[in-house]
Amino acid sequence: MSSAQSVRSSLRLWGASLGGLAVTFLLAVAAWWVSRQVGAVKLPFGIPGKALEYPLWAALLGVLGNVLLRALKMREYLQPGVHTELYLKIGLVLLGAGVDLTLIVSAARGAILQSLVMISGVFFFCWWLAGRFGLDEKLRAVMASAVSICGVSAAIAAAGSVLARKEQVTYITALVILVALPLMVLSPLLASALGLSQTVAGAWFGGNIDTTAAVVGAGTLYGEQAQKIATIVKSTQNTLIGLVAFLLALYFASREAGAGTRPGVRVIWDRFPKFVLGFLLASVLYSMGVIDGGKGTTIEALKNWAFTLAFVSMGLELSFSEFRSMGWRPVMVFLLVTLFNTFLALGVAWVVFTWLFPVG
Amino acid sequence: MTEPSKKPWMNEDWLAVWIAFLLIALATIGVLGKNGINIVF
Repeated sequence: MSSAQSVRSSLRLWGASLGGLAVTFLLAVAAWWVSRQVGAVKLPFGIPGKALEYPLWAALLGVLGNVLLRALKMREYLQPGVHTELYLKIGLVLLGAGVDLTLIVSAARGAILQSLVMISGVFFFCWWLAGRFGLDEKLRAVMASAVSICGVSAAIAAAGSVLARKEQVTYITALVILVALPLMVLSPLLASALGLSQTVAGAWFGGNIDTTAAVVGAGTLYGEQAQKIATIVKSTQNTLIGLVAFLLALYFASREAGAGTRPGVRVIWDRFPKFVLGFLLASVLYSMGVIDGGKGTTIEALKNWAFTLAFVSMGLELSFSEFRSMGWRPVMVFLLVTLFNTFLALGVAWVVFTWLFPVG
Repeated sequence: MTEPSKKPWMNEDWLAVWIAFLLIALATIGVLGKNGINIVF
């Protein structure tokens, strides 16, 4: 590539990144404005406007922005400026600045137990079912990791371990977001109908919904304590990505002839979600009274902005085009496993957080 | 993934932690907030 071409390509990337960033921020401000307007009014059937909180509007406006950008043929161009995971991780660290360490400690045992049961149960169920449907082994590994651990991040980590094709990752990522968006809205409604406590509901969202952004969204819609517990449970699950990625790499390396060097345990640290350490540090500083991210503070407002940006980005990233290339058979498997995941997580969250390790 | 990709200059997780703590510091010293740039939600 000549230097003039290289400069042109760099400028194009910068333009796309800034454009994507500007669109995300504009939609986030619009979502904030709409949620404030709706929050002040009473909706039909006596539903208070406040019930429709910002995650809903942010995701909805993200999807609308997605449709509009596609119509203008600009979505692909602006994609480099859309950063769901980054905004989400910033929001999670900021959330830590309002969570007392005692809550993390008291929820940790239950969160670890639930994560171990959920990951092993859902992973092997998905692996078995996908095998019955005759799916490719690498697609099975990526899907099982995504649905049992934490959606997009786990799909990417597993794909790196098993050397899956790029299309398989984008396909699973699209599926994860497509299923997570309705679950983010439906789960709090179901939890309310079932009369679940904030703790059990939060643990359920953390165990059931695949992608962390939607877990936080569902928790926010249900209540403050639910948001915190959902985040703790999901973060605990996230920390196990590294271990699963390592085991998958080991399994595929042993099966594939000439796979080269065996994977090292270093992959466990490489795949470890470091933002969890930031979340814990922020919580320690909050518990010591050094910082305050509690209700009504500037840090809480920053956290809400970060999450709004993440929800908007999630809507912007939604894509259907991958389904054409890979067909609808994996969709069936994914939906069936999600159904299994929903019921298993409800039972496990209820038993663990009501009977075994209740959180005060 | 089979395609070799260029390694980013900083891991996204650490970048998020740095940005979050920068925002926390700015909020704690008052650059962001009621007496500075007012971030409301």
